[in-house]
Amino acid sequence: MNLLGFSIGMLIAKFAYTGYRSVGSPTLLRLGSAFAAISLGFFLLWIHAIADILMFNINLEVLLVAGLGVQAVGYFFLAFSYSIQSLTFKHMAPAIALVSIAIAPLFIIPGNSIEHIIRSISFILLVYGATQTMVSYMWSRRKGTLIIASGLSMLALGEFIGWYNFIYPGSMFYYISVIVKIVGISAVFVPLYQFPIRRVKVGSSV
Amino acid sequence: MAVVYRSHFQIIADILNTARDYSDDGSGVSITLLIRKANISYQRITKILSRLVDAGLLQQIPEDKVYRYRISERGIEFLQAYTRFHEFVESFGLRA
Repeated sequence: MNLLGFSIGMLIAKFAYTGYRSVGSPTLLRLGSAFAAISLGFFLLWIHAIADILMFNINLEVLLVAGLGVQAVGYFFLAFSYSIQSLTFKHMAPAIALVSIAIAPLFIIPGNSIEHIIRSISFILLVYGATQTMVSYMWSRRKGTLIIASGLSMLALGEFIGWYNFIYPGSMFYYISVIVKIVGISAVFVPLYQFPIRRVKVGSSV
Repeated sequence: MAVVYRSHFQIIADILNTARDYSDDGSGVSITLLIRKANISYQRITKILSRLVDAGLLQQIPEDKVYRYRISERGIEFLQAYTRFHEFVESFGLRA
């Protein structure tokens, strides 16, 4: 499943990067970086799952944290793409407040592992991105934007369910979380399949 | 009503669109028309036009001490690419 997430993420990242090379828009670079990081995270989580099944003698916890950490960086780039378009404090305040809540577990839950802190940060960043996309849908009424907002919401739900695994360790929550995240990233890809991945050779910096 | 700001690339697309749509005879368009259609100041448009000409997206045609601007093949390709990727970015509720 994680490998599927890796492939879908890479397709989106490749298209965004192709767009950046063609027209030079920094928004496309940020989107490309976001999905490349999310995709790499899925790949590391896949290695973690394989190593777990085959019982390789490696530190599995490090792989898991690295995978989730890289994905959190991707979610940050995504959230940053929205916040950079409205750089006034009035617009940034909700994002700052949400991220403050996200890092709260670091101080209030004793003995918390880094994995769960990363999950909570990812959750908040995704909720921010999904909310911004939903607001954008209210203006544009584009069906594709609604599907992407739903996909980002599913990714957030996946992180939330994964975080729930902290309360019931060793339960099915982890696997449900992975499935929900794959459904989420697939939903993000749905409106984008119509765009062919082909570079238009303009290559100018304007 | 919320103010919607255009990105740098949207302004470039507006300039190129004007140069394409208002130059049927191939003689190019005047800077006055570009200012009016792209809705930006003279100071800003002169900088952008200079960069677009350097990048080969617009052709500068001298006429009576002033210049007229015509979109090049490369400019048309850029516009097509921009339209495609703009839709992609807009799907995320962002601006290219």
